[in-house]
Amino acid sequence: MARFRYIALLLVVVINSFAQHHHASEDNNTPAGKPIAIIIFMAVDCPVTQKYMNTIKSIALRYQGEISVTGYFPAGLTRKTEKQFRREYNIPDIISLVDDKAHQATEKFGATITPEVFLISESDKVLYSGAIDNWFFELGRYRVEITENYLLDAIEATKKGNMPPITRTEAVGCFIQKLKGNSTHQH
Amino acid sequence: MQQHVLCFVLIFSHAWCIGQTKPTYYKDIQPLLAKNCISCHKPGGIGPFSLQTYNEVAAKGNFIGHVTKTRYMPPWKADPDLQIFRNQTTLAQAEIDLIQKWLAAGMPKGKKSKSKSFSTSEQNIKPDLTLPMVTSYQLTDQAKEDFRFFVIPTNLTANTYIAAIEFVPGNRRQVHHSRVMVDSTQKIRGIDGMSELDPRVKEFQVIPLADEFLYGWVPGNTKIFFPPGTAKKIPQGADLILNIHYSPTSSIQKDQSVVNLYYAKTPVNREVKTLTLKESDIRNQPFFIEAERKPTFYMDYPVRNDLSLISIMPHMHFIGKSFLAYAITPAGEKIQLIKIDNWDFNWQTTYQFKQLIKIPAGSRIRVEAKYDNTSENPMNPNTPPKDIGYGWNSTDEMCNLVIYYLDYEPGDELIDY
Repeated sequence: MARFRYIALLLVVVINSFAQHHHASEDNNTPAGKPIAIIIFMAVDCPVTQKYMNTIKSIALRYQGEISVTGYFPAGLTRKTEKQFRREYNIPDIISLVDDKAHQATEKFGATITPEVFLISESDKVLYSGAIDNWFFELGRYRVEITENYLLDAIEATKKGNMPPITRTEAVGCFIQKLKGNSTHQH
Repeated sequence: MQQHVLCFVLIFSHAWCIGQTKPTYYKDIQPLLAKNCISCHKPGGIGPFSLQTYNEVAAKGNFIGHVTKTRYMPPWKADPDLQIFRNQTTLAQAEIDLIQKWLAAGMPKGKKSKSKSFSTSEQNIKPDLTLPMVTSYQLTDQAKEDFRFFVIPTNLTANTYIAAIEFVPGNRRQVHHSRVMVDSTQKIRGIDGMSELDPRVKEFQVIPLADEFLYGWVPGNTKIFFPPGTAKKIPQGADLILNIHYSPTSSIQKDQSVVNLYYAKTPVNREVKTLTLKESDIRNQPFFIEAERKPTFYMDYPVRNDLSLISIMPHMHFIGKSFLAYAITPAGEKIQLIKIDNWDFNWQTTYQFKQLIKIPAGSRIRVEAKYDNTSENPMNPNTPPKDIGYGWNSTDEMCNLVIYYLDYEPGDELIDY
């Protein structure tokens, strides 16, 4: 239990560190830097999150040991729910799942949708943010064939030291409910 | 005069006060959700999450505001300004505005009224024949769409008249939509469990069906029932053919859906018949959609006898874009039937008219069905686009209008059921 608390604390510290710099990548002249982490905002009861779990697992396995994958849950994630969610979608331990009910990560990154991804560089910059790919093109409507793999393209480009071909897309999915009394921008 | 002025001020200020009253969950939102959302959004319901309590609703407030404002929810594809249907699930603009006002006010809870009960008015009539899929089907966990056929033998020993039919999804999360067909030849049984992508499907699609679309179901639909004294005939020994669309899943899921038949309990004076406008009714043949084209196909069907329309169901596949159906009477009057501007293959259903619609003999039923086989259409199953012709496979195309009707009798338009 103590180990989990330590990991959670460590992740919060890391998030703060990322978030302080994440707007820097908006300047396209800034060297991209190598990708080291994927942050994904998720919700256990969001059908779009659920449908993407296979894709998320395959990305995590593909870049295992190279790029970490962490799921943050703005609507909360109890130990029991995490266990159920991991079991149902057969989620390996290389994907960390973190309760973000206090919206520390959500607000730092400005996440508004689940699933919404943030690709983070070794110099704590957001290299890419938005949709994983173009499977969903609006709520409830998805392509038979995916034709754009935004996240994978961003990873491959930045691994080679190049800027991602696309640095920002609009994620399609479930809205993150802002905390009461919080004026965080929502779509 | 002073009294009049005082009255006016009082009335005006009262109206102003009402206009300024903040909506609350218990007074305004809970009844609205109970009427329109809870039948699906309840524990174990077809909706992905429950919206039965204040906390559940407040946790999704912004999302509810968005999906209702954009009319994504409740799901309903037909233009409500053109025709009203009895199974319609749309919110009035005033209701959408009320939700927005409640959100803007900070989602106040209000006071719970003990006297009110908001249970959904689901009918508790028990089915006479429950027909589950013969075996449970396990879906792939590879997040792939799955379109599959299943055969359910009815084993009916005589022609049977049904007053209502219902599809009950076995796996409420994964069954996205389904279509029920009727085969009286028992020659389609080999299709059971077959994927639409299986080339052997074409061997079965040449066998004429007794009913090509007995019922089309999407989430939110309940049973379809016919006016009193009328019923639909299911032939003796018929098989029900289910075409089920399963949405992609990343977890292991199973399904064993059920079709419920409700027999006619009162004497059946009139048989519910099916009129299906097919690809052969298209005036501008051939029904073939070349790659990178956006054709419109026009159907024109001459009505020979007076009809009373009960329901209507348009059918196209992935590259369908819009569907318009209307009738022109001999007097030149236009009777609007249905208009779907943003066709969505995943949300096709049987639309049941609020009241029976009379189509006089000599009328023509016309359909304008638009397709988009270009690379700009995100629903195009082919990248790059390919030529598409007729077929049952969802990556082929179809153009149907399925109508349930009765032979007209005077007074049909006034039947309230």
